[in-house]
Amino acid sequence: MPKNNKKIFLFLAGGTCIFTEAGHIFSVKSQDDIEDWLAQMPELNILADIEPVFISGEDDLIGPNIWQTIAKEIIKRSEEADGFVIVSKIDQLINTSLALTFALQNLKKTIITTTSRISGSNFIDKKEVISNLKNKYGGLSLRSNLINAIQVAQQPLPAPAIMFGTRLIAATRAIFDPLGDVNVFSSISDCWGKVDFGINVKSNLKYNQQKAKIYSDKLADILVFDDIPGVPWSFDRRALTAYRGIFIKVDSYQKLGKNKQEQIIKWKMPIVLYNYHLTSTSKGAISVSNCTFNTALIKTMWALSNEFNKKDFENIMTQNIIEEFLN
Amino acid sequence: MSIQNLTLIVAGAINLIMSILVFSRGVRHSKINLYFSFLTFFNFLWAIGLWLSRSFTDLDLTSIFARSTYVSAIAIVISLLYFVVHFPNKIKVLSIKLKFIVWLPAIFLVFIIYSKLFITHFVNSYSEYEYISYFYKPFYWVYFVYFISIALLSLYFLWQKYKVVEGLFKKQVKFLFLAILVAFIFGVHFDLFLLYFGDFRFNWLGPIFTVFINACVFYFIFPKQEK
Repeated sequence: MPKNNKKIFLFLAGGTCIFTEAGHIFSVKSQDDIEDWLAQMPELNILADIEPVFISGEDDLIGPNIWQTIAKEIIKRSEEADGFVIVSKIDQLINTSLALTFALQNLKKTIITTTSRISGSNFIDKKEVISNLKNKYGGLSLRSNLINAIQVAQQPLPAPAIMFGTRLIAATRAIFDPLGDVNVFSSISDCWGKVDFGINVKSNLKYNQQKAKIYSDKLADILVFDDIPGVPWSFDRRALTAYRGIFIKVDSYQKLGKNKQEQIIKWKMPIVLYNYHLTSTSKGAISVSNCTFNTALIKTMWALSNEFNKKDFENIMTQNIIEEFLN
Repeated sequence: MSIQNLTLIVAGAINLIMSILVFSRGVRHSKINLYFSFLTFFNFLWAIGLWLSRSFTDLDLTSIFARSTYVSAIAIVISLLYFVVHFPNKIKVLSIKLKFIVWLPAIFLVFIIYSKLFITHFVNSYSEYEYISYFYKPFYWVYFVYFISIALLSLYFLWQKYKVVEGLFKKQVKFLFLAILVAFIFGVHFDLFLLYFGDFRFNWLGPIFTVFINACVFYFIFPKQEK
């Protein structure tokens, strides 16, 4: 290993599928797999001093528990780290990145998340997909994504970001676009960087100078659903007690029906109405727009996980905490 | 101005523009940008050196510029080696031993190039501005073997990368490998091989083949879908 390499912690929480030299798919299902998995990519240790940390296996569910563990492990290691790379499942990568963005605000360490194109260790139902990916991209993209992520993790970035394909995207700007070709994540504004001739990260990016704010509570459980105009909401009120709040994705053109507005008042719990473009107001609910769906969702979970009172919750949901709102 | 000299100026200008463009993208965090800027800058010096060597009737001036082209060629091949080590990402580190093998002969050759031990004398030929150099063959062979070895080593490193990289990088490495191979074959043919046999009529053709490398990188930086 060359001298003066930066120390990068590589957190493994699913999304670790790679092709071995023999053409088999290999993923990290337990701590014991890490050595063999890393041996498939010896170049990683040339790029940085890599220290792997096992968080969860390829088949484990990714959610608030895992996000809380990752955040805690990052805090524990932030003194000795130059940067962090988190490998996690493709379907939850945006939420994972956002959970870390809200939990570790203004941390002076770069956090990059990345993933393989497929997740889970059961490949029987994915044979055709895997074969297509191999023919089209020569692999599952994790190898090149990791190489790029490790290099970007050594540069200062203001907040966690996703490195996938040819794009480096701020977590608050990322949208999942599974029909994308090389890139399965898009950005609602300019990307922070791109891979063209090597990695080209925007030169004006740096750590946030504000004091770091760390929130280590587990994100709150909330009920999430899409409103369909004309279709009534039928909930047993007792079922709602399992949740700290309700997140409703609403239509941007139609107001909520009168019955629904009355239901919101009756529920007497934190309720967020979300639409990217515009939301109509409803008494007892907070309207959120002008940010991505995932950002609004994770922000709601984060805000409800902390002991803010009702007024604070309303303020927080409308405040630009981590530059999550456009404009 | 002759078509030959115009060709050299165009090839030089393309390389200089590319060098500035890539350098301005930032070299602090990107060794790829740094070494590619060097590579294209020395390509520029090579082309301009050839143009100037063909632009004077005074053989003393011709001698200075003609000798500088051999120094530029050494710098080109060393920049190429460092560039391919880093492009698209490092998969191996240049050992201290290899660095010695690269740099010591290079320093030795630079001194030799500016002595009578490399080019013994110049005579005007073909036209009043063109010339023929007479080489001291043993050291020309040393130069030849050094240049070919470093260039082939660079191509070998790039080929090794092609086998392990995936996705977009695989395509990039393939294109760049082919572009470098073309520039290498024609550069060596027109500016080393033919010169050994005293044929200097086509030495202006070598630099134009470096434009293929520039075209490749330009395509990487400005891909169609991102426009």
